[in-house]
Amino acid sequence: MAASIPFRLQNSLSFINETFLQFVNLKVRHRSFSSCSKVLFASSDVKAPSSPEGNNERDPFPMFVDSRVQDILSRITGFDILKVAGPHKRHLEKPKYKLLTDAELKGEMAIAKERLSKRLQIPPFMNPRKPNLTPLAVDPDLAHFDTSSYVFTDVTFGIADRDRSVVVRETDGTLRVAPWDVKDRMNQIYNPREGKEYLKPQMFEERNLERMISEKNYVYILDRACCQFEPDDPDFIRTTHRIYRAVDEAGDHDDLRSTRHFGSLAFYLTWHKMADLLLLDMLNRDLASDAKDLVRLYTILHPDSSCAASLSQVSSDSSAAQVVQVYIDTASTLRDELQLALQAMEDARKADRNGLKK
Amino acid sequence: MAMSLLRALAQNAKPTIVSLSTIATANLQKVSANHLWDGVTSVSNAGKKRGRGRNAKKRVDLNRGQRLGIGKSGLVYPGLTGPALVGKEMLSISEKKEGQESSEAPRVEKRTRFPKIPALQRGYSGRKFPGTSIGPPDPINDYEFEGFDTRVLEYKMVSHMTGNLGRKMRVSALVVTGNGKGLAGFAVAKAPMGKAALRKAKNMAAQRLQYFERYNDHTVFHNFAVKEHKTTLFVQKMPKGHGLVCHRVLKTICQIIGIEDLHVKTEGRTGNIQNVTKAFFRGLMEQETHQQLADRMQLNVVEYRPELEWLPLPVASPSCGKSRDEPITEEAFDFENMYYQDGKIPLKKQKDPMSRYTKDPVQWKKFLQVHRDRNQVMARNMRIIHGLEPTKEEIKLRQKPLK
Amino acid sequence: MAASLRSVLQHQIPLNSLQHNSYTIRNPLTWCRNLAMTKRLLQEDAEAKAEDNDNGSPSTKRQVVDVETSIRYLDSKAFQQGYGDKPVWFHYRRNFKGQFPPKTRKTCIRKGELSTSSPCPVCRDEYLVVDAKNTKLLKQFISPFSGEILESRQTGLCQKVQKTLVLEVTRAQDEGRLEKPLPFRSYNYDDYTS
Repeated sequence: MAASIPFRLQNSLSFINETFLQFVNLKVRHRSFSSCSKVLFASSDVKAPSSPEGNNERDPFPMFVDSRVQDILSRITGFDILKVAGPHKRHLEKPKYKLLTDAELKGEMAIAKERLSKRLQIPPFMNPRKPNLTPLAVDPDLAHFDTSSYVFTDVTFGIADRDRSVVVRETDGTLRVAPWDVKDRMNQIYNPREGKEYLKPQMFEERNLERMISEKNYVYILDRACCQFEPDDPDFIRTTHRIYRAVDEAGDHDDLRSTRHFGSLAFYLTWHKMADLLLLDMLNRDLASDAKDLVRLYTILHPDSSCAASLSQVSSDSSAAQVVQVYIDTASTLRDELQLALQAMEDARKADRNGLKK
Repeated sequence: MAMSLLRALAQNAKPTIVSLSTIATANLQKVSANHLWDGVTSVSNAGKKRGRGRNAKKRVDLNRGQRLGIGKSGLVYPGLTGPALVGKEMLSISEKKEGQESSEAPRVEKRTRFPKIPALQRGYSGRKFPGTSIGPPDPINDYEFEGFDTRVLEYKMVSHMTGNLGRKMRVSALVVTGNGKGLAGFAVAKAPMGKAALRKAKNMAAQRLQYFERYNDHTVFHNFAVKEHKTTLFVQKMPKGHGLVCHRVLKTICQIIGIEDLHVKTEGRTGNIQNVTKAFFRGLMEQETHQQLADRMQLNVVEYRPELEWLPLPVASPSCGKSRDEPITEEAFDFENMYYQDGKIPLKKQKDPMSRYTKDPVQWKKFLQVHRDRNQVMARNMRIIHGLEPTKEEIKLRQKPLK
Repeated sequence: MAASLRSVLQHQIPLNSLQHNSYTIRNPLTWCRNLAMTKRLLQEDAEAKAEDNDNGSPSTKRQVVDVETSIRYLDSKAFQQGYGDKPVWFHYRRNFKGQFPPKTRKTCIRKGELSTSSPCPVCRDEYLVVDAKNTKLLKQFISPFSGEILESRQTGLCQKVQKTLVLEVTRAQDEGRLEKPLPFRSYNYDDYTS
C-alpha cells in the first residue's frame, strides 16, 4: 500500500493510469484463493440483462419522479401511523414518559407524523443498469504482467457511492470502468452501508424466495432488497417485480398499504398495464378516491392510450365512479368483475346516504 | 446396656430356643417384652415437663420383614402357620404346599431421603425451605384458591427463654402467596413444628391479600424508592423482555404477584427478609397509576417507546376531558425521578467502561487483540454460509511455499 | 481398560512367583511386560472386547438424529408433554457454586458420549438438532423483544452449541427463514437522475 494519499479525481480518466490512486490489492495467489477469486470475478462478464417485458425501452424513472405521480402514489399508500411505526425489534431501551398539555401533545404528534412520513419514501423505480464495456485505454505493454486483475478505487472523503470512480486493469492490459458488481463491492469495503452484506444473501435465490412468498413475508423481502441492492440493480428489479406479481396474484395488496412499497407496487402494475386486480381490491374496500387516483396515474403513464384520450373529455372534477367507468370501458381486461364491484360500491354508498337521511 | 437389652429382646421375640446365661435367664423369664420396652422408652414425669419426652427412644418393630413360623424351607407348623386340627386328626409338621405365599413379608419400600424436586421449585440453595413452593392455601368455606401459589421466603428457628423449659425453640416462617395476576399477600407465623408454621403462615397470608395494579401486566408504573428501617429498595421500571434483576426474595415475590420486568437495587440490611418484603409491598401499594397522575396534574401522560420509533402515545388523559393550559416549565422535571422522596435522587455513578482495560497494560494488550478480531467470527460464519471457507486440505496446501 | 487390567492381573501372579521371588507385593499398574507378552495381552484384550459386545451391553454413544426428525419432534405431542409451552432451556438449572454463574462449559459431548452428568439443554435431548431449517428451535434462543440471540449465561448452553447456534441463526437469516432487524434506507432521488 505505497500510495495511499487521497486525491480528488480529475476529469480526464487517463490520469488514472498513474500511481496516485488508492490501490486495492486483489493480487491473489491463484492456488490458494482460487475459490475466492472465482467468486469475485464470476460476474464481471455480465451481459446486458434481457428485457422480459416489452415496455423496457421507455425509462420509467423520469415519470416516477414527476411530482404528479409522486402525489398520487403517496395518497394511495395511506398513512396508518401505528403500522408505519410498527413494533420493530431492536435493542431494549427504557421507554420515556412526558407530561404534556393537549396543545403540546398535538405538536409532538405532528412532529412524529412528519418524521414518520419519511418512512414512506418510495424506492426509485428504474430500468436495469447497463454495463459499460468500452475500454478506457488499452496498453498491450502491460499484458500478462500479473495473473489477476487490479482494481483501483477513488477513496476521497465525501464522494457519493454512485459517483465513485472504480476502474479495473485487466490481465491483458485493458483499463475499464469496473463492472457494477465490483463497484458495489468496493463501495461496501470503503464506505460500508449498514444492512447491506458483502455477499448477496441466499434469500434472494429463487428457491428461498419461493418459500418466503408462500409464507407471505412480502414486506420483509422488499425491505431487505432495498437494503441490499441499488434500485437499478437487475437483482433488485427481478426480486421486487417477482414480489409485486405474487402480491397481485394473491390479492394481498392490503399487506403493503402504509409501507413504502405500496407506491412501487401501484407504479409497477400501472406501468405494465396490469392494475385491474389492484383496482378491484380498491373498489371492494370502498376506496373510491384511491381508485380514481389509480386511473389518473394510468393516464399519466400511458398518455397515448385510448383511456387517456377518452378521459380527457371527462371533466376533471367528475366523480370517482365516472372515471373508473371510463377505465373499465377502454382499458380493462377484467371488465365484468370491475363492473360488478363498482356497482356494489355505488349501491352501498346510496344505501348509506339513505340511511343517514332517515 | 441398652444394646444388650435390645439384642435380648430381639432374640426373645423369635420362636427359636436360645441358650442364655444363667443370670440373664433368671431376669428375662420374669419380665415381659412390654416391660422391657418401657424401661428403654419411658421418660419420667418431670422430664416430660421439661420437654425431654420428644427425644426419647421409640419402640422398634423387631419383626419387620419377617413373619413368625415362615421360613425359607417353607415348613408348615400346625397351630402357628396352619390349622392344628383337621376334623379330629392332629396334624404334624409338613412340607410347604404349592401356591403358598413367599416366606418374607413385602419389604417396606425405603423412602429416599431426598426426593427429586423440579429445578424451579427447588428453592435458593440446597435442601433448605426458602424459595420453595408449598402449594395453594387451604380452601376457606368452599372457596378454593385456584391459580394460587405459595413460596417460602424465610424459614428459621427462633427461641425464647422460659423458667421451666429453658431455651424454647420454635420455627418462624415468612411466606408469600398470590395468583400471578396482581393478587398477593404475605404473613409470618410461628409454631413448634416447621410444617405447622408453614401451614399457618400460608393460610394467614391468604387472608391478607392485596391487589396491585401493574402496568400492562408486566411491570410497575414508575420508579420509586422505599425504606423500611435500615433496608432501602430502589425500584426501576423496565421494558418488556428485560426480566427480573433483583434480590432473590424480590424476584420470588414478583413471580408470585405477576411482575415480569423490574430492576431493584437493595441497600442497607438486605439480609432482613421481613423488612425487604414489607418495604416492597408498601412501595407497590403506594404507587400512583398513570390515570391518577393525569388527574392529579391535569396533564396527559405520554409514552415514547423505542420499538415504536419513539411515537408519542398518550397512556392516560385527565378524566375531565381536557388538560390544563400551562405546561410544566420546570427545567429539571423528569418522570424518572418524580417519585423519590424529599427531592433526593439516587446517585448514578458514571463509570468509565474502559477503565478495566486502560489501567493494566496486560489487559490493554488483550483488549486490543479482541478489538482487532471483533468481526472475525461473523466474517467466518458468513464464509461458511457461502461455502468460501477453505477445507482443511486447502489450508494445508496454502501453507506450502509458492514455487 | 477394564479388560486389559484384568488380563494383567491374571498373568502377574505366576510371573512374579517365577522371576521375582524377592518382591512379594507389586503394584500391578507399574508392572512392566515382556515383549513376548504384549502380543498375547493385546489378543486377549480384543477377545474380551468382542465378548463385551456380544453381551449386548447398552452403548453409551449418542444417537445421531437428522434435522427432519428433529423438526417433526418439535411439532409432536411428546415434545409438548416434555417441555410445555416454555422454551427448552426454561427448566434447566446450572450447577455452580456461589452467586455469579461462571462461563458455561466448553462441550457436553466428547467422543460421541456425554462427558457430564448435567448436560446443557440441547445436549441432554438427542432429538434437538440445531440447524437453520429447525427455526422453531432457533426461535427459542432469540429474544422475541429485541431479536438478539440470548446469552449462554442465560440459557445454559455449552460453548460448542452456542457457537453452532450463532452460525445457524446467521444461516437462517441469510436464507430468509428468520427475520433480521433491518435499518431504514432513505434515497436521494437526485442521485439517480443522471
